Amino acid sequence: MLQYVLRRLAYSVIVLFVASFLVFTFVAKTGDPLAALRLNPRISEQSVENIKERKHLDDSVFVRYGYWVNDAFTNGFGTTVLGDRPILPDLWRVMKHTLQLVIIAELLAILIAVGIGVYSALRQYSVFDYTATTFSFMGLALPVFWFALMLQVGVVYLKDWTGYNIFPIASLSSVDPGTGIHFWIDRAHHLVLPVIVLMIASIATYSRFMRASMLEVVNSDYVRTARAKGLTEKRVTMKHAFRNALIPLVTLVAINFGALLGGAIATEFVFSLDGMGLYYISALNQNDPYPVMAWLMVTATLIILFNLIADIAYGYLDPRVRYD
Amino acid sequence: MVQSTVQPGAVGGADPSIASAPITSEAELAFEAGVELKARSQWSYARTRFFRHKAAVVSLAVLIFFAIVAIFAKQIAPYGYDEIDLEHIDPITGIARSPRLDGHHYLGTDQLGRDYLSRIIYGIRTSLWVAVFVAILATVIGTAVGAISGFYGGHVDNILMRITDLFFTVPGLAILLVAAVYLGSDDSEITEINLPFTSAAIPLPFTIPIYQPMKIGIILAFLFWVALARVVRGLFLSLREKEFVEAAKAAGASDMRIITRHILPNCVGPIVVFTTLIVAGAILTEAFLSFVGYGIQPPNAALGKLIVDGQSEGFTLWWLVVFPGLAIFLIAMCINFVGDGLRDALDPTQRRSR
Repeated sequence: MLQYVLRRLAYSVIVLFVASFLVFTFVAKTGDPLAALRLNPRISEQSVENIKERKHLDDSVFVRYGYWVNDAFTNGFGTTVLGDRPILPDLWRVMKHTLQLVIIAELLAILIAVGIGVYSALRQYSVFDYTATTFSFMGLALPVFWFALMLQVGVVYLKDWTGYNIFPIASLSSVDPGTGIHFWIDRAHHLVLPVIVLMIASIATYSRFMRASMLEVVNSDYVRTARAKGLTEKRVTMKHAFRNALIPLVTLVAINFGALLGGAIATEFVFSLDGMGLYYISALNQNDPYPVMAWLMVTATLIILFNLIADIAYGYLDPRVRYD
Repeated sequence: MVQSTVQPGAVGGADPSIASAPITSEAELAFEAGVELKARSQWSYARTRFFRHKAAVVSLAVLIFFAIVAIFAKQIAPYGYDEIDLEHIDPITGIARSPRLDGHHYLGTDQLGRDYLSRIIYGIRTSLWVAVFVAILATVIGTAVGAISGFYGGHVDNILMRITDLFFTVPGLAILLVAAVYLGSDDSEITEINLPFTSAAIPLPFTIPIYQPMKIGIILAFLFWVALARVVRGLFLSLREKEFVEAAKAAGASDMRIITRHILPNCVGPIVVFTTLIVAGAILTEAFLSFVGYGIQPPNAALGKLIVDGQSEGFTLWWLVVFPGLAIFLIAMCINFVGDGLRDALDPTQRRSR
């Protein structure tokens, strides 16, 4: 087991290096992060040259990548080209915001999806089952950013109509959120719409998965044995079937969670939430390789870690699984 | 005479009374038993199963409708994509006219007085074009890589699977955005091939025109082939151990022949189902890319771009946001249903989980 984990980790380091080099090359060759400065008449040619010199923008990609690796290991991913902002503190801030959003949304999604999935499986081909299936098909086909916009439009029209603004449609906090409990109430109020958006996609996926997994378990031999022993139906479904049906879901949720920590890009973009996804998009807009790379490294590491967690959890929950 | 359909191979145990005569074919056997045997191909069974799936059939009809609209956009769209009509201005909202059923602009017009129905039709045209392009490209690459990887195993398999690992580790959408920025946002022409990491370039004797949506298509295909390659590899791994492959090998068939004529036909079902998933994924992803501003660029029409253009005033002009999104949603949902129907039809071994 330990050997398996170590081998996976060692291998992941190689993958990270290859990925980082490729992405660095792409971003570095794409555009000029100083384009905005050059257009500004108040900034002299000399100061642009100075930044260029300091950030080694004229060197070859290999040399620049070398500087980046050095910065990544010794200097917390370095600083941005424009404004010389240290990257790591910014990254922690947006990470916290994304965590708040993703954890709430995923927890609610799991609870709802497990309920829907189990009930659909137990009442297969019932009206509820068909309705749930249809809705999950709709959820999977829903463009996330459009759904977010629709909610915003709905809230705005409701405000025009009733004169009452039920939910804020953008950002994480009010201008003056207050402190302590007031701050958190305000934050929760702002997170309602983003959480709904994020939940829908997850519920659609998880409930389908849960239903399939539950169906498989319910039709298995040991459940029939449990029934034959004369256990109550409740005990059979809850103790025998349900617990085992949850195992595959753990894997899916862990992997999905890891990916979402890189930011629910669409949701954060539409609601302009100061999270990982928005951070990434704005870094990309500025053609600045350093924040893009920092984001990529953190996100890729998280994805690798959560994939590993998924594997280990699966092996722990299902002793039949062996690693070699 | 009893009319019935018998699945080939199903007539295994013959009636003892007629077993004395040497029976050569199933048709003969059925004739002796007084049954008219109607030969039905696998495709015929698949078709029957597909048409039993009501939602899939309805979805297919809707998709065909959208496809016709897309193909004949120039004939069907009441106005041009960029045609400005200032004669039918809305008394309340001004140039942007809300949708109403009086014969002009059924879906309203945008802020510049351009017919929104026409714009959406052209948007659907581009979206479907890109999606089909992505599906074909990703399916060809994914199938080829998966087949080679699964059939040969060993070092080839190792290298190819490590490449796909790379794709699974790095967040796909992020790579997509970077690649979209890298490839640029204009229609362009390839006149020379740049050698990687150097400034040297090999001039081409001819120019290859690159239509900008095609760039987006290439990027998306680059993202989507990976999962399919894994699926095909898995199928090949199990099928290459089967007896019929061994028989083909013993008969002296070449590797190429075994792959294309013996194993691949057995993978068609899962590949087709997966391809439909790719189409739906491509439409949704392309719309998002265009929405964020890295996708299809004007003057090419794109549904995602329509949404982001409408968003600036979308909170007062609701139709600018609602209709293009609805089109994306409908298309993606129909494709998913058709995919589900195809799964039932082509993959009968898979337990029906509906």
